[in-house]
Amino acid sequence: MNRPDSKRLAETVSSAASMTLFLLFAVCCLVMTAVAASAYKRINENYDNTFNSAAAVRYITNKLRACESAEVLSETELLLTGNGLKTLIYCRDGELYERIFAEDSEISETGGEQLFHVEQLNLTEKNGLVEISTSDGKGGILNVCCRIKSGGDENGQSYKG
Amino acid sequence: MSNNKNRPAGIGTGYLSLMMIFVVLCLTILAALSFSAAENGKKYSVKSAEYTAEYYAADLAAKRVLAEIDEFAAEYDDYSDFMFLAELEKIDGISCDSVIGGVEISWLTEINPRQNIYSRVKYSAGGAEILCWQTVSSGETEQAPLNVWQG
Amino acid sequence: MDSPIKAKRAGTAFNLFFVEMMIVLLFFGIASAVILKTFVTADRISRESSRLEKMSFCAQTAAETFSRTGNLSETAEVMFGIKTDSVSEITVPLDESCSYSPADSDLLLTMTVCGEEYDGRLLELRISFSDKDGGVLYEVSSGAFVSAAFTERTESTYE
Repeated sequence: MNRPDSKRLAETVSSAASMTLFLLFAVCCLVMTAVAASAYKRINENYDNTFNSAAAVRYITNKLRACESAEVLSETELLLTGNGLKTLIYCRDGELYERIFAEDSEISETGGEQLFHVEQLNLTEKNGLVEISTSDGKGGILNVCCRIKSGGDENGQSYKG
Repeated sequence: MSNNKNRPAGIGTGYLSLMMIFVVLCLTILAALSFSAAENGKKYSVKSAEYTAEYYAADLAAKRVLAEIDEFAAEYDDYSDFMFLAELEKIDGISCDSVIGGVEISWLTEINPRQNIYSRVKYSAGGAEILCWQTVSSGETEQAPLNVWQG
Repeated sequence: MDSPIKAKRAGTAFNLFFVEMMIVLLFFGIASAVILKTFVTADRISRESSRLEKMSFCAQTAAETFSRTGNLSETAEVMFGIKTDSVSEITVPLDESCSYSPADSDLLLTMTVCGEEYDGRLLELRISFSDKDGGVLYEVSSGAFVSAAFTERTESTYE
């Protein structure tokens, strides 16, 4: 009479053990997926940030180095002059734009070519250096300084090397 | 009925393997994408950092040429003096243009095979000044800009 | 025709389930370890590249400021607000984002005036980032040209 009972008990224990093992496996799967998703998100955000904020700062820096003279018009506008052209770099609604004008034409901040996504751009000129500061809107701020060649006539462009 | 009695509680054989294969496949794809993004980011950062180092090394080299020119210039009051121009000839890679009351000196310093720093200074009775200190593509200078289609 | 699997007893199915579970857990464990290692490596690479990016921007700021001031202590004051009398070498503790962090530093920025040429008119600056163990992570050489002939005509001196 005891044999079927003990068999049923063994089956119940075995079933519970298998279910526990299965639950353990399921929890492991979920934890692994969550960890992987969060790591992927962080790495991708970092990658996006590199290709937006940092690339925008590098682009402005390279433009400043390659121009003949530069002028900070406002916190979000930079006017570069070189090769008979004027280049206006400006930030509007979280995007960085660039527009090229002929040297004698009037400058307007419309119709520029969209370059990078930059949440915030701050340009400050002090003692011949432009501080370029970008924010990605998630607390990531990049700051860099670059020499500026002041505008005016060609002979007025003297600066310390 | 007898079949139901015999069937064990829980899931059947094979489902676990399928589930595991699906999860591992998803994780592998995520890991591969993350690794690829991180590697691309690293390549970009390394190139940017290398360019920064190259630029300032070239900037320093260009300043060294300027310092050499300035050392010769310190000995002269009249920069249109032919002796001054003859002294400048000793410096490699510079070109001198005589202008009214002085001289304009320009030179290129290589940043990398694609870019140079184009420097141009003017020494005249009024003093010395840097007219130009800008990066240019190889083969492009103020006098000979790149032949870009103007539209 | 009945399948031979259906003919098996329940005990055999349980055993089969256990065997499968064991194999699955073993394989999943190995695969998870490899995948986690890949994620950790990717995360480390990502952090390193972000740090390198910030170091390169910090080095650029230091080089440009020194080029403008021609003075190491002024450069340190403009960049980090540090007042120092040292004119030849400054070591600044920085955090991961290359901000001045004297309490908890991850990086050390060392700026050294390693050469004076042409009677002090050309100053060579070495900007070096190292980790806590002293291993050099990134290095840039830059310089400042300070000449009376040029500065006389410069519109403003550094404030």
